[in-house]
Amino acid sequence: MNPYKVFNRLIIVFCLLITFSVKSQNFRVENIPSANTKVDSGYSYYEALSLRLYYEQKWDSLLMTGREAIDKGYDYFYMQVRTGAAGYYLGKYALAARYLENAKKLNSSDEFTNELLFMSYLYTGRDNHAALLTGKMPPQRGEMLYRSYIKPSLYLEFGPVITNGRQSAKHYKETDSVNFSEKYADDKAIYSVVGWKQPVNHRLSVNTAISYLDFNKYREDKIRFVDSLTGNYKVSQYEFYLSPSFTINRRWSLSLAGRMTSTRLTEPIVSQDSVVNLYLGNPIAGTWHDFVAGGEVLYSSNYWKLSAGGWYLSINDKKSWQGSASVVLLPRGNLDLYTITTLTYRDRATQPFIFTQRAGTKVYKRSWLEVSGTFGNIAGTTEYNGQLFNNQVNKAEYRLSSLFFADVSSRLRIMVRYQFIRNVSDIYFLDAGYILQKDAYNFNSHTITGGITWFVL
Amino acid sequence: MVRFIALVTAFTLLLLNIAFAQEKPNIVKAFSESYSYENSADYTKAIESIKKVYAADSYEMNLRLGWLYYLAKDYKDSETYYTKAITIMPLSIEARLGYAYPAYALGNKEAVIRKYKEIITVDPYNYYANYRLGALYYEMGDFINAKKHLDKVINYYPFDYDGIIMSAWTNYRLNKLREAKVLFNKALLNRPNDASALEGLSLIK
Repeated sequence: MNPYKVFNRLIIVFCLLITFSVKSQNFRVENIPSANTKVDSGYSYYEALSLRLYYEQKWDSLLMTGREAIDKGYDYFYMQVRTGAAGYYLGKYALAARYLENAKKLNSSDEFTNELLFMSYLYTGRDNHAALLTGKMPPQRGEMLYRSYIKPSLYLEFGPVITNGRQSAKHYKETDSVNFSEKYADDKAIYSVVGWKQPVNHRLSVNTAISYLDFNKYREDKIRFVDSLTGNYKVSQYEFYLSPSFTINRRWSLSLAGRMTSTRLTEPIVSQDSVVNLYLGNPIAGTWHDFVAGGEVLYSSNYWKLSAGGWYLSINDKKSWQGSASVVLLPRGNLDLYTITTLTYRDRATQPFIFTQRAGTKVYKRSWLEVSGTFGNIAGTTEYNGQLFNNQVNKAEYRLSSLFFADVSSRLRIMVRYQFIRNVSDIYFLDAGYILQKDAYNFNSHTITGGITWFVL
Repeated sequence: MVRFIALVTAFTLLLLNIAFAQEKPNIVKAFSESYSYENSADYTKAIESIKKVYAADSYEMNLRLGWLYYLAKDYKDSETYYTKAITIMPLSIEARLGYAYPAYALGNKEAVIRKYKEIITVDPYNYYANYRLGALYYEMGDFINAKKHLDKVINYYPFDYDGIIMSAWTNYRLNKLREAKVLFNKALLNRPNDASALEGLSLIK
């Protein structure tokens, strides 16, 4: 046999075998379902389920399903919106805001998303971000929400300050009646404030206030062997506060603040003797001006806020500065429970650090109770970005306070505040040998104020 | 010996032919099947046809799957395959036009806008990108941007009904009533008795 012929035949047979083999492989491939074939995908399942839960308003289940779907990568506008809506209707506004912000990144013009996000911001105390959001909505809708919820407000607060300063200082027997100690200033006083908060536009709002502190007390000085003098000793303080707040974006905002005080002392001492009165001349009077200027930046996340600020203070011509940092936490993602922790540092102080812890909770429907404790000497400091100016002389050891406020209607909020301060006061006196002595004593002050906030439009 | 070499060469060519024949007919057949299934609205099977021969680095297969998943209403997977197709062919306009379908169905309008803008960067006068972007902005209430893109459409396709009617309504929303009136009338030249154009004209009067 010709070896070439044999080889040829072998090749032909081999080729035929290969051809059949290829055909049979084709057959197998066509009939075996591919392992990665996925027809009814997870997307269809989660989409159908979340839509059904949304229509059925099963918010708990929808929230769980939505979070699960997004975790698995089924992250798209409608899933984010439904999950956010579930959080919103469950009252978990911070959680809702998180998903609605994500949805907004995917579709910035959706009216429903914007409105839920707007309300979520309001219900987590982020009015400035809500206002900013309305500026990015279609004009008519944005304007309607802005006018309905971002309102100017008038606030009034009024009440007495009661201390036991004079009683506490009684055991210091002044032997010379011309001496005067702070114990007189630590007596009763009346505090009042009236303020106006005006939103200017979507980014800017201005808070301005005037307050008045009145110490009006009677003091009698007896000058031995000569006369008896009496005077209606009066200290009053006017304060003016101005704070523009600028919202930079949905996370950052900046608030500047300035506060000026004018403290006036008059002591119209009069004698029982008209001739003596003639020689007494004009009443003693004096005016002092203090001020604080500074500002703070605020970063807002959905569950927490962080603020840091610095202020320059001038009190009795003494210049100093102060820095504070605060953390606001919303553990439940709404204002039903919140904590605010503040640490303050002030220069030129023997006790430079002040620690304040506040905690508030919803007590019933639309009413809240807040308690707080401050540890450290607050004298010569400012708080709440200049809204409080502690320009008193007396040092404080600690302060405890409580605040109750309730929204009576959408326009009216009422509040009652009680504040207890443990003070330390210096006293100068002449001892039995007529030698000037200095000592310190503790006394308590109680401030009880009530007020209203009226949302005007 | 010459004959032997010729036989070996023939054998090698045959093997190569078989090797190619093993791939080519399958892919073509898979695509062909997918078209048949698509025409009969059996998108699941159409997807299966492509998936049998699926190669992750194939632009055409990813593009096809993107479309089929979109038809099957599986928008998330559709978006994924269109994204893969764009990654493989970064300048592809058709893949971006395709991507816009599932992205819109998922509500991801910002992504749709982004993709149309990418097309316009490459092809500034692309009809579909400009028209759809204009329509999308109109839907979102951003009439100024809508006009910007629809103006391009009606300048390059002056007698295109869709472009004219959208542009007419956009001008109407922008209170450019004179322009709107002209455009509504032009729309009527294209489609006499068109309800939308007549409604627009009635609002202007």
